[in-house]
Amino acid sequence: MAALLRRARPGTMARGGAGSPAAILIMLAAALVFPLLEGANVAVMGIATEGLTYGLVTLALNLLMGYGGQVSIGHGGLLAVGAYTTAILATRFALPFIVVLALAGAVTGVAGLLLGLPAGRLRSHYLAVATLGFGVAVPQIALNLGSLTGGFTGLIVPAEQLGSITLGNPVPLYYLALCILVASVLAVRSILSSPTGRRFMAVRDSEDTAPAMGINVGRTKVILFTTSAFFCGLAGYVFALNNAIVEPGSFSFSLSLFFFAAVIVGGMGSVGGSLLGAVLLVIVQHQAVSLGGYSEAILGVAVAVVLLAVPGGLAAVPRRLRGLVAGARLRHPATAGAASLREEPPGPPSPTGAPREG
Amino acid sequence: MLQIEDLSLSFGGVQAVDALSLTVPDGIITALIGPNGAGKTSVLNVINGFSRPQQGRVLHDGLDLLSLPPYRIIQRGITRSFQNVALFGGLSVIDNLIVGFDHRSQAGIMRDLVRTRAVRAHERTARRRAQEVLEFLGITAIARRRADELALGERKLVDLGRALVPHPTLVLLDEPAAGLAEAQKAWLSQVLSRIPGEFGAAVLVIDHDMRLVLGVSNRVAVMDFGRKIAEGTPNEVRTDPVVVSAYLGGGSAGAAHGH
Repeated sequence: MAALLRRARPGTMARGGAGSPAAILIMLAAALVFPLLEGANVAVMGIATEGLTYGLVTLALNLLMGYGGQVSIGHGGLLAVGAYTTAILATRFALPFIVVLALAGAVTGVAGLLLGLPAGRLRSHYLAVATLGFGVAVPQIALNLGSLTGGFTGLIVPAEQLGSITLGNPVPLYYLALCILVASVLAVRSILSSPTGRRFMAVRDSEDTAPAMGINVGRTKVILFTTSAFFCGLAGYVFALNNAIVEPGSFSFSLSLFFFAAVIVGGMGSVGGSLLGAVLLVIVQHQAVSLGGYSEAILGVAVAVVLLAVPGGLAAVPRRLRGLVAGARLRHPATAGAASLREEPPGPPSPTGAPREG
Repeated sequence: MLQIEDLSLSFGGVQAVDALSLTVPDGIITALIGPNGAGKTSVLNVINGFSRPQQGRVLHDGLDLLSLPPYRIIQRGITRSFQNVALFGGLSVIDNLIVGFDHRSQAGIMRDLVRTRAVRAHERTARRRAQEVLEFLGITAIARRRADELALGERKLVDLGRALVPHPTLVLLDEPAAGLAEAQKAWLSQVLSRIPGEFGAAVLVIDHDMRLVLGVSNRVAVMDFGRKIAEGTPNEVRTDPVVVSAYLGGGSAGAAHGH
């Protein structure tokens, strides 16, 4: 798997493609007007909110995989921790929604911290197995902690009030999910362009030499897992309200697989790609409901196709298209000169005389 | 000043470093040369905390570096480059340079997230510093390129730049000239010889290119089979019969140069 993932070369910061500010603004505008078109359709709004929720988990996982270079196929478990935290708090205490939301993030962050401790010592497929174990264990634990979690039947989440607005209603919940997602995107972008974000990417690109640059690799991985888990906890809050019930059966292994696939399909190391990948796969999965057990197979096929055809995922498609256009121009004799001038980046000053490798 | 005292490092049955003592004075360039497998990189790895020796001490201004984890070494002002140029491939050149500077930022993730005044000030200082180093190296044009898109000559200079940005007092360079063309080596030796003057840093450099190493260094130590077999000025080392035989015995003709 590590070898496969290496094909999906992660990006630095968003440069063009689905991660560019323009693309993100277009997606935001579309998301804002969506309820005006479909607000009356409860089923569609539920799926749309699910898309935002899964988009947030995929973003969190992409922070871990695409920017931090770590693997997780257990992020469904983190979503479960956030959802259960929300459900337990909402059924037992009358807390303001923002407190529940913050606690869902914090508790899940702690779960991520615990997951990150072994991650400091494990690499690639060993880490994948450890996270898989976590993802499978969480719903099992929930099943066995009946007094707290409601066991097999789970917990019914009471609709929370924000003033006169019932947050459980489809349209308010959709907009709440959108607000949380937008805030999270801004937070992730802010982290990525800070010393912390550079440390994540440095560990991703060269774990062995990063210590020479003053990076405590183990600590960096723990921070990375904690941060990723925090955002999953926020998503868990929305998940709990959107599903209205939190039960072990909602967090099967295929959910973790879904997030993993969404990162690959959207593009490793792309913020916008994460959201696109998740939304696309949510749509595909709902279209494929009638196919029963084949929906996991569809995820697997989607990952394989993307890795082979567009290793950069959806985020890389615009860049690839530009490359194809430039390539066509290059081959065309009339414009070849101009194209090759554009293609040649300004090199370093000649004293280095660096020969360009192929 | 860095003092290596009676250092021994072995991997299984292989004695990589054998009772080595070496002083790296402040403000000058010290070269560590020797045939392949002489243990030169192992010495850098010990200084850097990457390898733990079985015996000996590495004192830096009186403090034993062996008590520090690798990521704390840079806080002592010691930076390094790597033989295999392990840049952070997905980062831009300028971000590669800044990573080593980031240990100066005291902010954790929360303050990075909300971009406190201190975080923004750090970011500005880091960029300005990286820009200075890019200018020193003559590679400002590639500042925004991705590191893994660069040619070898450029990567070598970026690797050197990473070691210069964090205001080092001692720079460890592992084969900075390996794989470079002659014109690039000429530029590299110019750059290297200016480091003590312009950065106030000592340099400990390993390389196989005798002409380059002996040209830029003030002191030279020669290793063979993990031991130090000679030490002195470049001229003394060049004519030392022990050195010459080590190199001729080792199959490299480099040290015969100057005879």
